[in-house]
Amino acid sequence: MKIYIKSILRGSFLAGMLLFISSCEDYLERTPEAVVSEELAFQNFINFQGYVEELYHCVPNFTLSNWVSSFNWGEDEIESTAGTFTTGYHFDRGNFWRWQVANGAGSNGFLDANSANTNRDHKNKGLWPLAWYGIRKANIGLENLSRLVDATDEERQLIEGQLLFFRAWFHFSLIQYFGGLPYVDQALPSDQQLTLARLNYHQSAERVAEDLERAAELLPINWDNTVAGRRTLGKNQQRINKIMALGYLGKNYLYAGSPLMNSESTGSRSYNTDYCKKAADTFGRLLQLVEGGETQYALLPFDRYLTNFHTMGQNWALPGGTEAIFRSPYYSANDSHWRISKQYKPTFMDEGDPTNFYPTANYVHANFGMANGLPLPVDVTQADPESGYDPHYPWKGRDPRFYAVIVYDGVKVVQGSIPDPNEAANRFANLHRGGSYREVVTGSLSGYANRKISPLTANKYDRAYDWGSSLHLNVPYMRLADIYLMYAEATLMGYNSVGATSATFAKTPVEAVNVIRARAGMVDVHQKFLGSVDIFLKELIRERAVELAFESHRFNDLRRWLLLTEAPYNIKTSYEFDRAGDFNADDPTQNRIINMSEEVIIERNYTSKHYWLPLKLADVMLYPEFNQNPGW
Amino acid sequence: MDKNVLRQLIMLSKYVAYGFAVQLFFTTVLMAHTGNAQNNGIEEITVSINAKNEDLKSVFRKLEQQSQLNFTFNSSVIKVNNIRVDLVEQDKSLSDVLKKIADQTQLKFVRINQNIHVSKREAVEETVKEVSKVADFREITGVVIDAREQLPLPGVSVVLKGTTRGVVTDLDGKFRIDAESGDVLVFSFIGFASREILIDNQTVIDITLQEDTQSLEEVVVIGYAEQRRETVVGSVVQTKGETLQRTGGVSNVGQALTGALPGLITTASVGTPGEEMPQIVIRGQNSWNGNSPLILVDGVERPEFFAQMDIGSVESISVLKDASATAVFGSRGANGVIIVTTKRGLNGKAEISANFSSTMKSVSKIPGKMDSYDAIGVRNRAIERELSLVPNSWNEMIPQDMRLKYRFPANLEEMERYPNVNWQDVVFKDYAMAYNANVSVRGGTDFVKYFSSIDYQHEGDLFNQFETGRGYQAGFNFNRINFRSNLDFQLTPSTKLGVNLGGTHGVRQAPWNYAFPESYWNSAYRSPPDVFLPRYSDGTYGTYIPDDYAVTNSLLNLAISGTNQITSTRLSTNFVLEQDLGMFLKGLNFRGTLAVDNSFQENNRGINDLYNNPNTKWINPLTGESIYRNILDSNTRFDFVEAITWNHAGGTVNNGESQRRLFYQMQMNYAGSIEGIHNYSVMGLLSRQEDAIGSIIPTYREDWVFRGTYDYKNKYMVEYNGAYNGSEKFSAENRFAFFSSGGLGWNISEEGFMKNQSFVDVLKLRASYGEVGDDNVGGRFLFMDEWLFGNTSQLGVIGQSGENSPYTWFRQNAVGNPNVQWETVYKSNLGAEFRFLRGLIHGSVDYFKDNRVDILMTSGRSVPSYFGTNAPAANLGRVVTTGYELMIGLNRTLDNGIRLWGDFAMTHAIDQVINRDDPLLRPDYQKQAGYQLGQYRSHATAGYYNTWDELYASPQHNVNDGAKLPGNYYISDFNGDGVVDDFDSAPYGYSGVPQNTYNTNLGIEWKGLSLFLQFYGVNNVTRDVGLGSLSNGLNLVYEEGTYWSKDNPNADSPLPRWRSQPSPFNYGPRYLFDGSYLRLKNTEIAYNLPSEKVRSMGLSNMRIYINGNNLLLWTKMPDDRESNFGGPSGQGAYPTVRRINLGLNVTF
Repeated sequence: MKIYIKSILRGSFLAGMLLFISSCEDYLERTPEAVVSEELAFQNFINFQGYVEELYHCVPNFTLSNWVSSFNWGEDEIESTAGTFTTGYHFDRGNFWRWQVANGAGSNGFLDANSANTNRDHKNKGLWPLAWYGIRKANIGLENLSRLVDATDEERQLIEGQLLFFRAWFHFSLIQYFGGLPYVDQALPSDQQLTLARLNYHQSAERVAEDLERAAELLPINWDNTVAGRRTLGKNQQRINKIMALGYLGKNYLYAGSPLMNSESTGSRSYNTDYCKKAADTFGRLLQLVEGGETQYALLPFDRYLTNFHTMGQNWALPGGTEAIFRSPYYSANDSHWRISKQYKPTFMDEGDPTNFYPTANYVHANFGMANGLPLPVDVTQADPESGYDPHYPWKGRDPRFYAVIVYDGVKVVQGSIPDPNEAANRFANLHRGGSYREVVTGSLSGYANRKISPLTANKYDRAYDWGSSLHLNVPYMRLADIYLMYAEATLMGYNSVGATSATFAKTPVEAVNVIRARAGMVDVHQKFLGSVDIFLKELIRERAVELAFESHRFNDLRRWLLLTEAPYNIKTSYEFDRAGDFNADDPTQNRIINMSEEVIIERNYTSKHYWLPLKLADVMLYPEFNQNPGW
Repeated sequence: MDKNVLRQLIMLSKYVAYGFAVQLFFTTVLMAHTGNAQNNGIEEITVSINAKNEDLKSVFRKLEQQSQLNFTFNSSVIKVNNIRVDLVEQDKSLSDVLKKIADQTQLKFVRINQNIHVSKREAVEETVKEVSKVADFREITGVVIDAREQLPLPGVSVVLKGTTRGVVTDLDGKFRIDAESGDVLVFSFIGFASREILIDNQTVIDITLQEDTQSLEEVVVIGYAEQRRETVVGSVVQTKGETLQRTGGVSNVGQALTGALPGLITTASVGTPGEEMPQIVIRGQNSWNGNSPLILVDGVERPEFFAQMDIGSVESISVLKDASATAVFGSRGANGVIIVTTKRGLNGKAEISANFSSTMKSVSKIPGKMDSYDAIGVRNRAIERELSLVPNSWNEMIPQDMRLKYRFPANLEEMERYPNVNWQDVVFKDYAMAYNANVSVRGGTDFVKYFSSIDYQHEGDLFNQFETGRGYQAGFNFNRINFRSNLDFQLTPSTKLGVNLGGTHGVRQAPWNYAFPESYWNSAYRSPPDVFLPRYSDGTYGTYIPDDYAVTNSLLNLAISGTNQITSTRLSTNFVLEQDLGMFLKGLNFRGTLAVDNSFQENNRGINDLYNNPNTKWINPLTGESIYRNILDSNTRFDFVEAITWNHAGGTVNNGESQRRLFYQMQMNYAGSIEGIHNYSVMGLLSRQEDAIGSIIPTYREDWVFRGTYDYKNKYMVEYNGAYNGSEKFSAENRFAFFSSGGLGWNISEEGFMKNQSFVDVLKLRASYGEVGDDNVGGRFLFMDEWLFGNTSQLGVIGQSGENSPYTWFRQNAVGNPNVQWETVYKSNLGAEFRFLRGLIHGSVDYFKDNRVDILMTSGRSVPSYFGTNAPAANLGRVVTTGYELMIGLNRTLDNGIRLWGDFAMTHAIDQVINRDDPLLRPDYQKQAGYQLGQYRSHATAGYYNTWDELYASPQHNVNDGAKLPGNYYISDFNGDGVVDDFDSAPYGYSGVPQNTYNTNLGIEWKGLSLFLQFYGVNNVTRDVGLGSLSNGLNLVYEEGTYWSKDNPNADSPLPRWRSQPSPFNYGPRYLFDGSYLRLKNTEIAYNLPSEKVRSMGLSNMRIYINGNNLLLWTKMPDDRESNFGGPSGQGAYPTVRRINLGLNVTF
């Protein structure tokens, strides 16, 4: 027996020896050969700026968020019958869950996406994931600022300024839709339970303001004038500067001071004068710099007004010119060719998707008034002697921006030839009752069409969307005209007077509005509306609606003014009419119409819960302090 | 250093390949060698021996070396390993030595020529005898008979023992051989116990051979070794290559495995030529990180080879299921192990066998759609119904006159204006063909044994072919050549070298731009019948101008798809060196394995026809107006014939599919026995594997394994396994972990008290328990933060794609978790195996439980969005899977020679998530915990709202409540909070993996004729098939049974909506189907031609068969797919097929 045991032991020993001899500890100890060390990222300006610049790709481009892009969710726009998948369609029906991918958004809309993509695909970007990714990235950067040794003070300021701006911008972008959220100011640890509580709106806005204030101090007006910025001389338009920081600082204050946000935090459904004053002073600082000629910004002249939104034949230049302050980067200017440039006309005109977007009649009627500064009557089928509005010639004598932005019945859409005589009738926008542009599936439901974002010639005959035209569409996040109007609103409500000025800028609210109107060749605000703060405020609201129409502002404006659920802001209408008399092809304003009626297309049955978007269930089910918005 | 070794290995493998090619010529010629005639008598031969308690085998070996004589014995009668002797003799005659041995052992020795025949000694008998020294050749004849069937056995090898001289019996079982007295004839035949006959002075030897069912099943391939079936304590099942060949015409092993082995569950979903591999899980699902088993081909992990193997080269496939079987594979074996062993050479004359088959394939089942007229009818009803919600839709009603035109067009013009297209007929043909040819040769000598085969497979395409005017034929098909040659060299008496070369070369044709494969079959699933004709009489193709994105013209897509030849070549090499180390320690041996695999793929060879769209048109049915796209000549609008504008493409290496693998393993085995009672073995091994795909940093893996087994008289078995596994995913502290497992077995039938029971042949109980580690989760260096350097921002404001910033990004790509560690599966298994009444009934039962803890989660963690990036991997989950397997078989040969057999097997496996980081505030019925992985959830319905009253009284929907209409499902407010929302979605049905699978085989054999049927079915499974009718404003209506109406409140389905949008949960579980099915999976009728006929053709065997695969299907699903992989349900996939296969098998 001993022998057996011996031999068993010997066998085991030999087998064991084999293993020991052949073992080498570090077979799996592979330092990944392509390892990039964290230190490298922060060691000098060039690397750190490389680290920072991914943040620019975290800003979604709402203009190009899918094949068709729905980004006007107020009462301003209606999609064609086919567009039942769009965010706008579902928001109209009260389904605000629809902003979420988990609730069917897919890649429609810019608010959500499957993950935080910083690549160059417009369609994969969503604000929610990208904002949180960007905030984390900014925080890691800020925590590692001390590692930036090999840099000048100016360089360090540029880095810190950008990081602070983005941290604030992402938070601000979220709280405007969702209300107060935690303000994440550190790279959160991965091995701890995260239970940050939601702040209220004002608390969040204070934190945003803190960062933006500091960013404005650190950043230059124009990178071209800095030593570091000279590396990219002439190519710094998109880099974050003092003006952007001030613009968003002001906007943040104005939002905090707006009725919705004020009621969320204080319960008062009026403007918060403190925040409005801060907003006014901030915008004032900005405008003072602009009007003092210290910046690269200026309003575009009216003949180039639409280059704020699209350029053609300019080597794909990003729209915006000197007026745009903050825009998302673009990756392929021709992306708009695939659908967005074709989403404003019936599909038979532009070979696009059957989903198209049209201005609602109620919006056009309520806001785009007469050239003399007076609005249309409430009942547009009736004449208005005061303004000179003639319901049979409703297109006569209107605000110049009406002609620049709105396609109305009879406008000559096709400029070139139409080979097929059967199709010749489509040269003109036949938006009257039964007209070809009112085609049931893809045509206008409202009797109007939009030429602001995409030009008339983006049709299958003129083919402005073809490569050779270099058509580039992009709606800016923030442009100078918006600053003037926000300045006017903030000053009016902060200093509670039509004639007041802010502490930092010498224009009154009325003067600020008139700057914008003058640019459009529009008369000054009518005397009639200067009587009181409230009356002027209504006119200011109308002015915003005209100047900033279809630029994605209306939904948030209605919300912050607490008007979203109120009549008449809760209906969308169409304008039905027949043509009468001879058709004037050369001057469509001379065309006479009869049998007019304004019909309700949809009434938006909203309740107070619709002032905030619902948060994701995945977030609100984690712990009680990150609670869902009321009513959802 | 590593690279050098690798290069040398590659060079080495090249040389071996050359050597092999040369060798192949010689090995087919059996080189007979005659031993040196030994003329001295055994008294004259002197030998010396010093053996203390040594076993006979080694004593004989020593005596053989000194005497130049051979000992021959029947090892099943005389267990030379177990018989021990004590001998100390110096220069004694061999005769004396043998006598001494005989005294100690009850053996007798007869010397005949150069052989010493050893046999058991009866009472009083001469112990040592010298019969003859004189060569006295004479002709011996005889017949070999199958003992059971009493039929002659053709093809039996009859070899003179110790030589390579031999013959094979003819078709009548007769043989004729020259031999001399004292020679031993060895009769051997696969599947039969071989017999040795000592030639005395007889000239006629008629013998019977017993079928040796035991021998076939006896050896079971387990991890790193083979074990005798009776001593296996793990749960292991095994099938033979021959069994798999019954499956009608399928071209990959995975498909053939369906139903073949209890516990193995396959799920098929696509029929694309060359890509039909089903998904395989063993004993259900147990993890959300994938449940794919480890697949080994000849001992090395080779799933990609497995997918392309030909069935003809498979010797056996073992499936290892429990801990004691899989533990030795460490981290890779947690989901079970499939071990494929390829055929090897056998001693004997070269046997050439050839098999040819041709298969007819047809579409199995795809969803039915209504024709234009009926679909428009549904559309009009839908519009009418929702007028209150969308008054505008009234303008979209299609008048009855117009509707009738779709069914009864008056002329060609109307037929084109009002199309009625059966897209299934347009896209697919009635049948496609597949062909297979296989030739193999198998044989061997004492020095080398060989098996070589070559296999050709062609899979044809189901897509219709038609004249496109483009000069090439698009579509799919697949051609594959596989070769294999396995050689075993007996280099020295104690050294064996095995060399395996396997290769597969597949050329798959697919459309050039395969990025949206669904576009080629989409029309059959999703194109409405009335939008356009696939191609109009003027040569233009149809396109739906109003929404070309929503409607596909698959015919057009295929016509202009170009072709892409994707060539995949894979080479696998194995070198196995087995060295008996008996000189150091008896029973010790070493086995070293080296495997080098390479795969290459070339794609983009063929025709690039992108962006050459032909003229397309749509006829607006309302106006009759033709609208054209891509007009070539806009002046005449007449020129519809395109010039050939496509390019030939020369092919590029697809780096992402290049794959290389280096595997080596060193294994020490030590086995022994104490007096044939205590049998023990010890095994230790180290293996390392390096894998790389494309240009990634290679992945490494290291496993150390230990196993010890012991059994007492084959009655009681104990086994212990230990595995020490390393993974690059974990930090240095957690990198290696030790996992142990073990098993116990009890062969009750070996007990004395059972020996007398005649009805029990085998009865065995076994139990095993153990832990297996797993790191099978996406991501690599999970323990550390990963930073990337690359990309720049686009910050320009000019140019089509703008200008890039000069600053390159740094980004933190992944957050690491230094604490991640191995996930562990605790597997237990209880099993019993039995065979009663001399094999009439046999079967097995297994109960198992897999308790998987510390499951890695890399996604889906309950971490708030504001964390800002993907939460790092962490060990957070736990899943328990339990189930049982049952197999029972009958096998009976009637007196008239008819053999009937059948078996039934079922597997039941059900998993339950115990923990999966569910959000705290989620209601229990929505948590993962407590339910199966992949448990479907849905809003529940309580019938229809039949009236407005019922509708108004129903709970409110949180979204689109205003769009409810009578005739929709009454969606239950599951949680009773008064509103139907996301929280009312509750578990519904099952998961996508069936809980139960059933398999039944029935067979009947008579003379040369055999019939075989296999039924395969599953139940307790759910599948979603999202086929919504009338979506996107298209007249696409699936056959869904009856629709609700006031008069038909018990309809099969609610009427679809036209433009109005009810809440997303409005359809409840309408599109979740019971995924159960039962199919006649395989059936075969085969006929072995009568021997006379075959012989006259110069063959030794010939078999004709016709078999079918997937012939009949019973299911509630609208299509024949078992899962939605390979294409989402709504878009369909390349359809699965039904096969009828005619084949011929000949052996020379």
